[in-house]
Amino acid sequence: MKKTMLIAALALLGTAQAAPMIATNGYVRFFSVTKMENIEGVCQTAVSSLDLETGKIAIKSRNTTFVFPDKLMQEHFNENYMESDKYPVSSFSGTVSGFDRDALDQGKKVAAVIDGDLDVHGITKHYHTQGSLLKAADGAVAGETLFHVKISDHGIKVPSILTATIADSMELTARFTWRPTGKAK
Amino acid sequence: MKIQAILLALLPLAAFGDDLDSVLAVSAPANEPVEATFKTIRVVESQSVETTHEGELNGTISHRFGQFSTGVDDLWGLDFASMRIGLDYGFTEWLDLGVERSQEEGKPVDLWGKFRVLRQTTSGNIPLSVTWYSAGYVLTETSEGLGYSLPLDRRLSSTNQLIMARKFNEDLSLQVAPTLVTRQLRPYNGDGEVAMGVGFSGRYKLSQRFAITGETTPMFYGVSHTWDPACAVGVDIETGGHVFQLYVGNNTYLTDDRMYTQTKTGPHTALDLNTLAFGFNITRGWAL
Repeated sequence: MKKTMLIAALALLGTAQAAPMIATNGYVRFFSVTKMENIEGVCQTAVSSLDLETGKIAIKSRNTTFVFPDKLMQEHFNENYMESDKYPVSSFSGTVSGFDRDALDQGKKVAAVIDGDLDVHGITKHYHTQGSLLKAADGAVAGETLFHVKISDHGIKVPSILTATIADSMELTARFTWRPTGKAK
Repeated sequence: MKIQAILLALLPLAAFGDDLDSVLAVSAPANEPVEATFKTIRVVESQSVETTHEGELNGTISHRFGQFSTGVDDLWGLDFASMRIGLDYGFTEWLDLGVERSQEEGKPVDLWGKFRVLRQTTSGNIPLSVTWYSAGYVLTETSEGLGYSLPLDRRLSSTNQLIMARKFNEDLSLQVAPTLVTRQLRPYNGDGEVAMGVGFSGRYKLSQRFAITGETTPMFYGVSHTWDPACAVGVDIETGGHVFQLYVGNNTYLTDDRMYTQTKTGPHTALDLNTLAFGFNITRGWAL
């Protein structure tokens, strides 16, 4: 498995073309508040690619890597809601646009518009939201966004007995730091 | 780990376009411990391979009722309820310690421990989970209450199991548990201080929150011919915080040492309808 990945990585090295930036150890958090209970899951191993030229962005995270303060909640998250056996990965694919490229290159924090499809629990839904980008001296670009996702939009059912503890609307926060790949300018 | 680190260092050099799968495979390898082989620490009446998560307190209340054959006068056994209350705490992800008190003959109190030895992984490089379970029982009812004198050294018993389970898929989990029971107080001369058997159990999920379960524990050593294997079939109903386990079994014991070695059913078969009885467990976890 590891060997094949190494070969795959090397093979990709050979065919590298226009190189998007890559982020590993990306932070994705969702948070739900009700009077009864707060629910918080944090993933710190999400990955992303971002091409500043075309604005194309892609994000993937493995559902089982979301960590909860309450382990039983984590078990229920994977078993009962996300069905992580069936749908192991959540992903986002879209574009980042509307940002001031010159200001970004000068090291200013710029606002950006994010458009794309979020695939969670096997159901894809289009989102349009805002975020920000900030370029560091070493060329790494940090970005973050916060928006709300209705879990019912993604076919995640909460039994009526639990609607008091699990909100339909989840606050989703994502933070990534993309680093230039070998061929980026 | 080292190879992963090297790969992580190499990965940014490569171009991936939209295909992030190989990056994800390194950043978050798909090899985790398998969770929720069973919904609670018990399959039905017997212990499952599961332990309570680290830092969580788990409470279990169990009821066993009388045999259905008691008929309408005793509401098919519901008049004879015996109850067990139990608490256990997950000290780590691999150590779970519990205490229980059962309202049945002799008023047994037990301390038990479960130690995870192996955990099945999603990648399959560890194919099954293994947990050691030991419970030590002491009968706490006074000699006055019992109606006869019983010194401490005759009040002790224990159940020990090497529980091996595999979650075959999201729905099906099967478990085998070599079992060793020791007891000082024995009903018949033919019953040994040590009894051995093997427990077989499983669950099949019919929906997200509903599963059917079953178990049987035939004993092959140290029990006289009088006794039958304990059997039970039930359902698991999960509501989020609580798990309800409703079942029908061929005995009315709450303590597993007696259940395995002193189940007595009808003259013909271990599943004689007249000796079946209803029971339930309710479990609830709290993160502390």
